[in-house]
Amino acid sequence: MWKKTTIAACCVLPLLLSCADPGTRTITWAVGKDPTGRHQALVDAFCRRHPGITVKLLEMPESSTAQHDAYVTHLAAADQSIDIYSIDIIWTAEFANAGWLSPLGGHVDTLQLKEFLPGTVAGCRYRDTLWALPWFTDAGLLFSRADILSESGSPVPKTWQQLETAAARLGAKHGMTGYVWQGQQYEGLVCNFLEVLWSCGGDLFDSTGRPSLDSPEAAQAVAIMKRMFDGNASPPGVLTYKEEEARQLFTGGQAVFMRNWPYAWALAQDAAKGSAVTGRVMLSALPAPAGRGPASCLGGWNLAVSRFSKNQADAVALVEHLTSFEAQKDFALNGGRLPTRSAVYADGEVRRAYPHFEQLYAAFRTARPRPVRPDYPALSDEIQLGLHRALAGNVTVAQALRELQERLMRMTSPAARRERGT
Amino acid sequence: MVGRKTYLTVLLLAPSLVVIGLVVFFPLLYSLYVSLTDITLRSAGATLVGLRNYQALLTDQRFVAAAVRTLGFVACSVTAEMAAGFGLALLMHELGRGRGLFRAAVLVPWAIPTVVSGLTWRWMFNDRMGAVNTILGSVGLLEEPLAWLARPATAWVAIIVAEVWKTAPFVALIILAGLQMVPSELYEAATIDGAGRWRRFRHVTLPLLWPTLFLALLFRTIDALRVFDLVTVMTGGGPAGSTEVLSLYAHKVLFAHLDFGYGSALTFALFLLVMGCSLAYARQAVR
Repeated sequence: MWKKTTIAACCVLPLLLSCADPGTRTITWAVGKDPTGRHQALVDAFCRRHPGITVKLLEMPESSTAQHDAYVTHLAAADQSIDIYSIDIIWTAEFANAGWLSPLGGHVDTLQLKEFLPGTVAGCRYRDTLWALPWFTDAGLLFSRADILSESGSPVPKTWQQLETAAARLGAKHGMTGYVWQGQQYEGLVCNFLEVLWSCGGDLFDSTGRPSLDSPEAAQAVAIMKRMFDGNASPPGVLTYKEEEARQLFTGGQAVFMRNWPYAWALAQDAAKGSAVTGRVMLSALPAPAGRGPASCLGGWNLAVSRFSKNQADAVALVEHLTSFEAQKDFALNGGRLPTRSAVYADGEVRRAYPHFEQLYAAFRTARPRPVRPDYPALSDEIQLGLHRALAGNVTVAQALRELQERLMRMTSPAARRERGT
Repeated sequence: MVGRKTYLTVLLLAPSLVVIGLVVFFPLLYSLYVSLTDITLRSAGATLVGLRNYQALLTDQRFVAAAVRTLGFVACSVTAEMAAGFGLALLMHELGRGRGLFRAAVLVPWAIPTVVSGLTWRWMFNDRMGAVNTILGSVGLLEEPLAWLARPATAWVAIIVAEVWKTAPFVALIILAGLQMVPSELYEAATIDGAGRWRRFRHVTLPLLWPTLFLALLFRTIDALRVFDLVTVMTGGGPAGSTEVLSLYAHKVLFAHLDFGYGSALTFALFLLVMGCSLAYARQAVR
């Protein structure tokens, strides 16, 4: 889910034909700008196995918001020119609910789904139907400065309380920032919040589907986040941080702890890219309240087939190929993307290249998707606002949560759902 | 003969009229139509709901707050832009040699895409790594690093600084053009009549400059009312929604809430606001 919030090129850059062989069937795959340089190679491997099929790569803007807006425009117009969409996991339900995706249940061997990380498959299901396959994944992790921890004889924090205390103490001692995370009013804040909320045993919705931010767990979670500021573990500037602000502070050697997505690991190891902390960083699962297990929020991307595609079978074949063991291993080794298949993490070659995959896998196995609901973006917008009010201190935590709960109740009421056609 | 001439006129104008119709009036009328429906992504057909979406606007606190914010932003930023632009224009006008170079340098902020300059300013206002805190700290104006974008008041200061930095050059260029159109004979005549520098400015420059100032004011007001990219990049509407302007709210309703009917009503309300301002200015200009 990590999105570089750089310039969103507004126009679509089509092109790049591969395995061109006139007279063959052509399918088009819409995918965000390729930072890994591997998309074409993955497609080429597919074309070698399926000589009758030509795949056209349609490059979309890099920013996921811009991609979302572009896809909504294409799909709302029932555009047949795109067969496969790579979608952020939080759009799956929205697109499925709009009737834009083909159900994959009939095509995909359900047995092989067991080979994927459970959270990633859960993120592809909506109303008991499989709408996509998980392509690559992402989940929140705790980054710690191993050198500072061992010098002071401190263990890696296992509880939020330990993290708060250690961040405040070690930060002050070394003249650094303690704990940085993503606190700006945007989607990332919801991920950070859910990780705390889930670790407290709470959730956004209870088992009946009713919003449950009036629960004691929700109050506890927001209190944990707010205490980071009150206890000087996190500077108030965290309220304006997205991934990159936190990452630059941390890899610049100015923060002891950081919550971030795994992309930060490679940057922390790369002195050429300005890291001042190479070889001094360790990864672990995020903390939890004492006696509870950690929780991590899933990001990542799925591949889905357009309902309007004229080449359903070919499109499904490409989706299956891109999510296969071989393709994921290639994508991990050569593109640095994190696999959704458990077996890739255990692969010897992958392990040698990325020893840290062991810690990643431990956190990923229990990672959870955000609510798979078509109205999630709207709910998230309200949650971002409500949380930021609580954290920035405009209102008390209790009041912010009460008002947020009321708004979510109204938005998810049967009347509101009817109005939105969900 | 006359009839034929009219016919030819219409024929020659037709292509541009068609283009204007397609790119201006069609989207406008279509969004007006959508704003009168309850259209969502899923619904195949749309039901007309009359003015229901517009009624909802009036009781929507988030809309009212965004509208007030937007107007406040326009008032503050346009005033500052006009003042800064006027100053820059006078400076460029008085500058003899090196004017070309100075003019080019001044235009740089205007030439940079807003998203890029917005990102740059976002980093400059960063609490730990930003240049603003470093500079203010080194001259002793700040003891503790300030998280500019974490508090409503300072976030607005940051946004307005970035906006003025970007748009003052545009204002300056328009005013400079106006200044250069004032005939030098008038200054000479005023000087002979014994008018000093200030009186020449007050009684020759300003009256002749009014139309230009008006034009700059009109352009800037319309543009500032629609502000979107700068705020999106710098704060995303935060902290706690305190910088959410109208177009940002409309975008969220359209693309996050996927409520096309209500979102269109929001954008149409924004359009009416822009239109109203333009008309008010136009009437003023005619006088």
